[in-house]
This record gives sequence, C-alpha cells and structure tokens, in this order.
Amino acid sequence: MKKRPEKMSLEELVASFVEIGVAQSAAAEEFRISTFNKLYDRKKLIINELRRRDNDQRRLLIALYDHPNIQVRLNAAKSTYALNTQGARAVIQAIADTKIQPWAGSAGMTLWSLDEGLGKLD
Amino acid sequence: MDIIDKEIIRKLKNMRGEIAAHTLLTQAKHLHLLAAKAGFRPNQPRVPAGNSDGGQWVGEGLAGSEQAPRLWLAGDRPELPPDVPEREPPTIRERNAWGVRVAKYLATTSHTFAASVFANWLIRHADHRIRAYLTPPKTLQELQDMAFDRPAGFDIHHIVEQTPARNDGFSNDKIESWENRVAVPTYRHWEITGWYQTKNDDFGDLSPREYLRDQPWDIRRAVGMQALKIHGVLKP
Repeated sequence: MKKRPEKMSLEELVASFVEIGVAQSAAAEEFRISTFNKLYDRKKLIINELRRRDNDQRRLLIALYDHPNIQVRLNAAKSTYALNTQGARAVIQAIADTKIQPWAGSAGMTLWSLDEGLGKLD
Repeated sequence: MDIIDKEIIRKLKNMRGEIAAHTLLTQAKHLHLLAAKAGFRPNQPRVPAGNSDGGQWVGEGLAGSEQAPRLWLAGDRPELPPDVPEREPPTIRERNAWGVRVAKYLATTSHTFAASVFANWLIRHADHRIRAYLTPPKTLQELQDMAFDRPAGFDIHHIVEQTPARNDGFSNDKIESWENRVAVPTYRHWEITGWYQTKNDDFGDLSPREYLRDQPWDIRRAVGMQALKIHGVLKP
C-alpha cells in the first residue's frame, strides 16, 4: 500500500479497493490462500476508512456492482450490504447463479449463512 | 470385413472426432476475432438466463444503481479455451493450475471434454480430475458409497472437517465414520477447502474454519453439507 488509508482521497480509496479485489481474484483462482487473506486485511482497512468518512462513504462502492471483475463485485456487494441490502443481495445472488467457482461458492455460502443466521454483514 | 479393415475404420472414426474438436476451437477463435472487429465488448453487462430478455446486453447506467438488476457479466466466462502450453510446466503447482483452468472452462461452457485437443502432458496429469470435475452432482448416499472405493479423480472429503474436529476433541470414530466421509472431485475438494480457509466478511473477518471452532457438531455438519451443495457436488 503506497499511502496509509487515512491519507487517501475518496477516489484513491475506491481505486485501492478495486486493485485489491483484482489481486484477490487472481489469488483465489490459483488457490493462493495466504495471499488472498493478506489482501483481505488490506481491503478491510480501506473499508473501515470509507466507513469513517462523513456520511459513511462505503456507498461509493455501490458503483462497483457492475465492475468487470467478479471478485470486485462480490467485495463491493458484501461491503455495502448494510447500506443497500436489496441491491447488494441481488449482486451476490447473481454471482452465485453464475456457478463460476470459487466466487459462486463463496456468494452462495454467504446468502445461506445470512439466511440461517450464522453470518452477518454490517 | 477382416481385422485390418476394422482397424482402418476405427482410426478414421477417431480422426473424425479429433477434426471435429479442432474445428470447434478454430470456429470459436474466428468468432472471437469477428466480434472484436464489430466492437463487441465482452464485459458489457447481460441479463441473466431465465429472464424473458435473458442474454441481451444491458445498457450503460442500469447496473450499480440502488436498484441494481440481477445480472452477470459476459466477461465472467472465458471466451476461448485456456492456451495450454505444449511443453509440460516444471512445477506441480503450474500443472495443477492448468488442469483446473481447463476443467473450469469446460464446466462453464457447453463444450464436451475432447482430450485430443489438449497437450499430452495435461491429459497424463489431469485427465481423471478434469472428467471428475465435470460429473453432475450426486446424492449423499452415492457420495458416501463412492468413498468406500474412491474413483480416480476424486478425493476423500470429511463433511465435518477432520483436523479442526480432532483438535476440538471430537472422537476419531465420529470423524472417520462412513456418514462423515464422501468422495468429492479433487478440484472441487480444493475449492471447498479454499473456501473454508479464506477470511470472510460473513463471519466477522474469520475464515469459516476459524468461525466453526466454537460450534457444535450439528452446525459444522450443516455448513459442510451446504458447502457440498453450493460447490456442485451434492444434489440440492
């Protein structure tokens, strides 16, 4: 990460979120789990910073619901679930419906765990 | 018809199959070039199959709104077969990666597995695993039965993950019981195991494996069963 999240502009935060998602996508496809998890921690810092900004700027991530990268779409939907539940859920469901692994599996398990009360997205 | 004639006819039939497979791939590449010339954008959103306008392109600006439509993007699916190298990659990791790519390509397109169009080393290395990946979901009984005589291309999978369960004090008899053991296509096994290990927003930033550490057997089993369904191994 070039800059600390608290020093980044909103545009830089969103760009970093996308960059991390694309890198996670490649890691997930090649079963590079530790790389994926390190990127997850970086993504979390970005999300927390967006949430901290005035009026919870995570809402900027809603614009990524139609990003070409499937991992970016999944990350965006899960990160905005609390702000836009209906729209986020539709994106997650659409990813589950693609049957393209590992994203469809992850999306399908998210929906199931939310419905069963095991998981929670805030 | 003597034996030599029969052998010639068999060889001709095999050649015809190989030519058909090669033609299919050549046509796919040709269509790709034509589409590129016509300004086709593979990432343009499409309406999902099953809707009245399924498969049609979605106009700009529709997606991403508060009322985002249910859509998948055409770019999610590979347009061309993976460009498998003729020379065998030096590491097992690379060979596995190519096997998985080919299996996923075939699973997400309507192509059948024509082994003759892929490099010999890939067939040697991954033929059974690719074929196993393409098998349809089975009943729990079928998966449990297969675990007694594991077919090539399949792994033994524990519905309740064995190592965490053992670490958490569950008995070996329970973990290794026939009810907990199923045969799963190797590549799908990797996908399921990968899901268990990756950090997840759903579970407070824990991986599902970490989250399940404090959970009883029944919850672990429910998660394990659902993972098999979602990953296309167990019939819904």
